[in-house]
Formats: sequence, structure tokens, C-alpha cells
Amino acid sequence: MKQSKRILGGAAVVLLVLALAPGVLAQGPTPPPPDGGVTDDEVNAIAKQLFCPVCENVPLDVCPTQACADWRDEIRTMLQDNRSEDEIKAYFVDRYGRRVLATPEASGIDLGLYGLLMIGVLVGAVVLLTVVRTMVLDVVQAVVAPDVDVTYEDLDPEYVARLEAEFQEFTRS
Amino acid sequence: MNAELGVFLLLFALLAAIYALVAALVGGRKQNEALVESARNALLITWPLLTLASLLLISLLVRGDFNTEFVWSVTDRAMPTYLKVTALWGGQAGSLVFWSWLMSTFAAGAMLRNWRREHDLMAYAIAAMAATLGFFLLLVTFWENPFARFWQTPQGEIMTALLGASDFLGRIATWRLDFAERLPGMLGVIVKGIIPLSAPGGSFTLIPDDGQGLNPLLRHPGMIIHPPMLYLGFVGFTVPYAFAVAALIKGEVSSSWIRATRRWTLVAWLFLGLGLILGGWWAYDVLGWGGYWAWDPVENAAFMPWLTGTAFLHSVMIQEKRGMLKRWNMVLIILTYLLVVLGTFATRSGIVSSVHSFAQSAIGPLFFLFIAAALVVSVALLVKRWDTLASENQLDSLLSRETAFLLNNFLFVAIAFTVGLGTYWPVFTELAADYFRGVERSSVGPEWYNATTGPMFAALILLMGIAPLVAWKRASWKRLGSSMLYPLIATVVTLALLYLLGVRNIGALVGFGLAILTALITLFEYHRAALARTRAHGENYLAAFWSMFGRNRRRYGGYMIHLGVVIIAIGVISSNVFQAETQRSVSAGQAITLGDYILEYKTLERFVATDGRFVTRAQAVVYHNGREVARITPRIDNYPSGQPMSIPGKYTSWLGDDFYVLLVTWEQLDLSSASFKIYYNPLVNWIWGGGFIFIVGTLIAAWPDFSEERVPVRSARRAIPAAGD
Repeated sequence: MKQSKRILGGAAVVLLVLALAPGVLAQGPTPPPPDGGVTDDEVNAIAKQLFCPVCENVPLDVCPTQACADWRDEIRTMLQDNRSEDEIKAYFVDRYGRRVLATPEASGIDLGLYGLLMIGVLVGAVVLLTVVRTMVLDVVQAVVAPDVDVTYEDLDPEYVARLEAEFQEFTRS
Repeated sequence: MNAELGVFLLLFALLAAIYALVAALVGGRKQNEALVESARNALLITWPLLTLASLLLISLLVRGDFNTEFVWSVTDRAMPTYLKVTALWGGQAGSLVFWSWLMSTFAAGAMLRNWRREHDLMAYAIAAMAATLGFFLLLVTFWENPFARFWQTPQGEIMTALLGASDFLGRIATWRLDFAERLPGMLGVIVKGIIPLSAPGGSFTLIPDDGQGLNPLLRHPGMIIHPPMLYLGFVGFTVPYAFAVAALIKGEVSSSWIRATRRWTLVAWLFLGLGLILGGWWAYDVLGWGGYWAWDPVENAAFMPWLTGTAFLHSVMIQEKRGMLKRWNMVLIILTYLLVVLGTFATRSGIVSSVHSFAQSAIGPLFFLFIAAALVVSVALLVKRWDTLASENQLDSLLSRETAFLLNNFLFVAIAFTVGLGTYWPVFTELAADYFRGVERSSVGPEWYNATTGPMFAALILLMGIAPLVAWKRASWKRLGSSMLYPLIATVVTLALLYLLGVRNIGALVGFGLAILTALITLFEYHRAALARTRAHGENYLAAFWSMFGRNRRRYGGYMIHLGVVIIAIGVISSNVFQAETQRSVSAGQAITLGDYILEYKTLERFVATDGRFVTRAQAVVYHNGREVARITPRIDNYPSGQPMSIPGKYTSWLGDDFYVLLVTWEQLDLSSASFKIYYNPLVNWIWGGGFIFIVGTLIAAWPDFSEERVPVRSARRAIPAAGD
């Protein structure tokens, strides 16, 4: 029984690796354009981080409007002029406002977003801890069932008994 | 005449709902059984009225009665019949009627099912359901009536009105508009937004030749069933809320209201989850950006009630089992209901697109008022019964299933809070920009959501694996460790192998590790339980496996749901972290390489489809590791009334990876040059597969037991310990 479990476990591992590895490993590089110019991919890498100023919540790299096509051309021109990614993003923010940034910066009013998030999660954690503390029995030591030396394949009799009790309770309810 | 009949059907349904609300409240307060029964009947009557109204609207859609504004706005002559039927939920007014019909259906079912079992709660449950239905009927009767028709006035103005032309009623409509101009702010918007009862005298009906047609984005199978599924989920959650409110009003805060509504909750949760998955599938297939979830505000508005609903579904188990977390469960169901209405409000009012669009339509302010009223009433009731909701027991140990569920609740609510914060932050900053100089509207995109919710989702996945191993009241670390030992070893070995094979992204490895661990623990739990039964009862393994599901559907259906979620998680992690993309312009005969794949552009064809679409279609061949694996046809559909849609061509590998190809709509497109955008999405189809398992698991967990009629047993309250909640 132990042997068959090991074989089953090993097979599960192999299957998982076979399933996960090929997909995540098929990442060969894309060859550069023949003329050495700025590629669509380089433009899209930056456009992806910007939102269309006109269409709500549409990233610039997939927006089909003419205005977005013009803005992507602007990005291409700036890349050809060797402007950096940060400079290009700053240019669009200056012209259209911080709403064009897909990820809000931790500055200005958007500090409030990060601040509120941290405060909210902290408050929730404090509430959770408080609830747990007030709910725990105020006893020095509770009676604990003696630790049985359990091995997985021995099928802990207490586990079996608990399972049966739950089945019966379900049937009765 | 037909459309006018529809106006009266909606009006009568509204009156019946209002009567049901008032009669239920008065009958409940005065313990007047006849009045409560009358309220029930009034709420029941809304169902045939709304069914007739819906069928009438569908017949107008199918017949193409373009005199009716709603029909004109969502259909055209070229649309096939099945799309004309589904156009019922293709526009605001029709979808609100559909919402109302679903609400009356659920209300009827809940009342009939629980009339005897939970009779004490029925009066106020009816009141709560009638209030919700009444609000939506108010909207569709006066502000978003799908039966409003086109008229042309003697002055040549085109307008809509509910009934015929009349001097008297027309003058009242004019007076109302003048009056609305004098009212302040939101009130003026609300009064102005009421659809006129009648056009001015001398007006004549206007019948356009053709309609605008359905938005091309909605002409996809996923979009056809996605809205009904979402609405079923939204509406379904009003039932447990109604019973919770009734329990609070009556002060009967035992678990009977939970037992009465458990299946309703599970079914609502299933449909909401299914709606979200279908929405993702639709986005992947139609929106042309290679993804399935963009953390769009409208998506988030539906996701948040699902999150709190999930927390509620888990948390009520503690109340049923140990009489604990009663306050918490009330908060969760109230929050879920409010998020449902808020979600409907957010998508209908346009507020998440722009706070200014909120102020231009009457829908926004009306929803806002309803949500505010529901919040005030719910909180007031909760405060009133706060002491009564004290726990009957306490936590015996920090390592217990109760603690695990508490942590589970915290994580789900934390994620919902985070998503809500990101969704409404742009609205807040837009408002602030109106009042404070130097402040600009902000956007919150997918990267922010992924970074903030990712760790919380990871913790949830781990909890999904550990919590079922932990016993109620008290568990031991040793027993927990021994239950996890083999799955942990298998997980570590798998991760080590993946690392050695070149998977180096730490975030992905952690995510995979947690998902694999949880999946293996869940599978081993199935195996252990089946093995326990074979030893205890002498059944063979398969028979034991089957009877295990039959004897405890909640638990083992729940495990299957967890498995489905884990598989979805693996698909999400892979397709997000390891997605590759490229965009190139090539001529016919040239190829584009992405990883191990090559796409060879063959030819382009243009034609007009039978439904009037102008189609540009590319023929291309896909090679993987040098071998031809597929011929695909990505295309662009141009509808006369909408912007072009890029429909992908895909090759799906046996493992569930997608090689996904789009024609770029805004670039030159002919044989000399066509621009392709290609995505490689590893394991993306595990998301849809995991979704299927999730649904099967939910159906198993929710399956009713027909073998005996259950009579709720009101358990005697156990002695309440001195320490409070």
C-alpha cells in the first residue's frame, strides 16, 4: 500500500511538471525588425502602461481609435529620439493629466489610495485580532486528546470516528 | 396598443408591490394573519404581471416595433430572431424589467417554499422583498419604461411618451418640466427624468424605418447568457437578505433563517460566479486584447458581492455548527445585498465612467437614495439587536476551524475592500478635482489590483487547503502536519523540478506551490475519506467514493469547488505571468515568430455577411516547433452601427495553451501589409475548465435531499458564556 502511494504520488508530480513546464517555458525571444527601427512591441510596452485619455479604462496599446493611434505614433517618435520610458510617461501626464497612468503613483492625491488601503487592512487585522482574543476561552489549559503517533497510512482511528460521526450527524439533521 | 398594455402591466405590478410592502409591515406589526396573507398574494401577483410584460416586450422586439423607443435602440431589421429576444437585456430599460421579473420569480419561490416553515418571519421577509421589487418597478414605470413610444409634436420636435397624445396631459408634462427646472440639484434631475405620460395634443406617432441594432459587442454567446446569470446572482442574494432583515426585526436570530435560505444563497452565488466566468470568456473572445479580466469597474462591481457572498457562505457554517459569528453573518449579508444594489447602480448610472454622467441621469440619484435608505434601515436593525446576536460559544483554540473561517472572512472582506477602493478611487478624485485646485482625476489599472490583491488571494488558496484539515473547536499541530506531509513533499518536489527546468519567476513559483499544495491536500482528503469508508463498511473504493458524495454533499461538493478554484488559479497565474505577445506588420507569405510558434500570413479576403457585417478575414497557418498545427482565420467585423470588432483566430494546445491572433483594426490591411497582434497564453483554458468544475461542485453542494421533508428544529439556546462577541 505504501509502495503504491509512492508510485501514485510520483506520478502526480510528473504529471504536474509536464502540465506546467512546457507552457511557461515557451518563451523564446522575438527577432528584431530588419531595419533596426522601433518595434511595435517596444511601443506597446509603454502604451500598455497608459490609459486612453478619451475611452474609459482602455489601455493605449489596444485602443482602436484614431486618437490612440496618433498617441502611439508619438510614443514611437519619442523612442526614436531615445527618450526613456519615464520621460515618455511624464510627457503624457503633463499633457493629459495623471488619469493616463494605469498605475497610480504614490504621490499627490494618490498617496491617499495607498494610505487608505494600508489603514483599511490594518483596521481589519486589529478587528480580527480583537474578536479572536475576546472569543478565546479564558482557561489555563484545556484538555487535549493525547497525541497519537499518527502515520498517514495508518488511518488514524480518531479521524475515522470523526468522519463517521459527521456522516451520522448529516443524516440526522 | 400593445405598448400601452405594457405600461399598465408595469404600473399594476408596481401598485401590487407597494401594497404588499405596506400590508406586510402593518400585518406583521399588528400580528394580523389575514393582512400578511394578503401581502403575500399581492407579491405573488407581480409575477404573472411581469411575465406578461416581459413576453409583450419580447414580442415587440421580435416584431420590430420601432415606434417603441427601446425596440428601436436595441434591434434592427437584419438581426436574427434569437438576438432580438436576447436584446431584452441589451439595453437599460429592458434589463431593468428583466431584473424585476427575476426578483418577482425569486420572491414567489421563497414565499411558497418558506410559508409554513418560517411563518414567523414571512411578514417582514415579504416586506423586504416587496421594497426591493417596488424600487425597481418604480424605476421601470416612470424613468426607464421600455414601452415608451416615439412621437412628433406639431412643432416638429421628436419625443417619447408612455400613452397617446393629449392636450391636458401634454400641458401637465410641460408644467412638470418647468417645475423641475426650479428644483435644486438631484431633485430637479429626478423630476425632470420622468418620462412624460403623454405627448402634446396634435402629436402623431413616429415610426422609424429601422432600428439602431444591438451593440456588436453583445452579439456573442457569452454575452447572451452572461447578463441573465449575473442578474440571477444579484437577485438571488436579496432572498437571504430579506430573511435576515426579518430575523432582526422579529428578534429571532437563531440559525433558522440561515437554514431557510442556504440553498438560495448557494444558487445565487453559483449564478454570480458563473456570470463572472462567462463575462471573462466573452471578454477573451470578443474584446480583442488577449485577456479575460481587466479589473474594469463594471467587472469589479459584480465581483465585490461575490467576494462577500463567499465569506457569508463559509461563515454561516460556524453559526449553524456552534452558534457563533451571528453579528458577523448579519454584517456580511447586509454588505452583500448593498453591494448587489451598488453594483447595479454603478453599472446603470455610469458613475464609474464619470461622476458627471451620474448627475445627468435620474437613475443615479434614485439608486443612491435607495442604497442610503437600505443602509440606514439595516444598520439601525443591527444596532437594535446587537446584544441578542452575541455568540453562544467561544473559540476553544486558536488552531481550530472556527479561527480558519474567521481568517477566511477577513481575507475575503479585505479583498472586497481593496477592489472597492480601486474601483471608486477615480470617482472620488474626479469629485475632488471639482472642488480642489491642483487635484486631477486618477485611474487605477490592472497592475495595482494584481499587486494588492495577489498576496491576499495567495493566502486564501493556502487557507482553502488547510482549513478542511483543521477540526472544529480544537486541532493539534501534529495532526495537521501529518495530514499535510505527503502533499507538501509532492509540492516541494514539483516546484524543485519546475525550477530546474527554468521556471524562475518567484511569484509564479509561490502561486503554483500554494495551488498545487491545496489541490493535493483536497485530493488526498477525498482519498482518505473513501479509504475510511472502505475499511469501516467494507465497500469497494469506487462505491465508497460515490456514497461519500451522497452522504455529505456539502463537504465534498465544497472540496470540488475548491479544486475548481485552484485550477482557475493555476490558469490565471500562468496566463498572466508567462504571457508573451508581439505585434508585427507583414505581407502575404511572410511570417511572425513568437517563442516556439510561427504564424505565416497567407491571404486576405473581404465579403459581406448575411447579417450585414462587412468582414475582413485573414488566412494564416500556425507552426509549432516547425510542424504545422492549425489554420486560423482572425477577422475584423464591421457593423454599420458600431466600431470594428477584432475576432481572434486561436490554436489551443492539448495542455490548454492558446496561441491567439488578432488583426489590428487601426493599421493598414491588405495583401501587401497586415498587422497582427499575437498573444501566447499558457494554460489559459484551465480557467474555463476550472470554472466547469466549480459549477459542478456547487451543484453537488446545493443539491436538495428529496428523501425526507425537513422540518426545522429550533434548537434550545445554549447557555451564553460571560464574554461577549
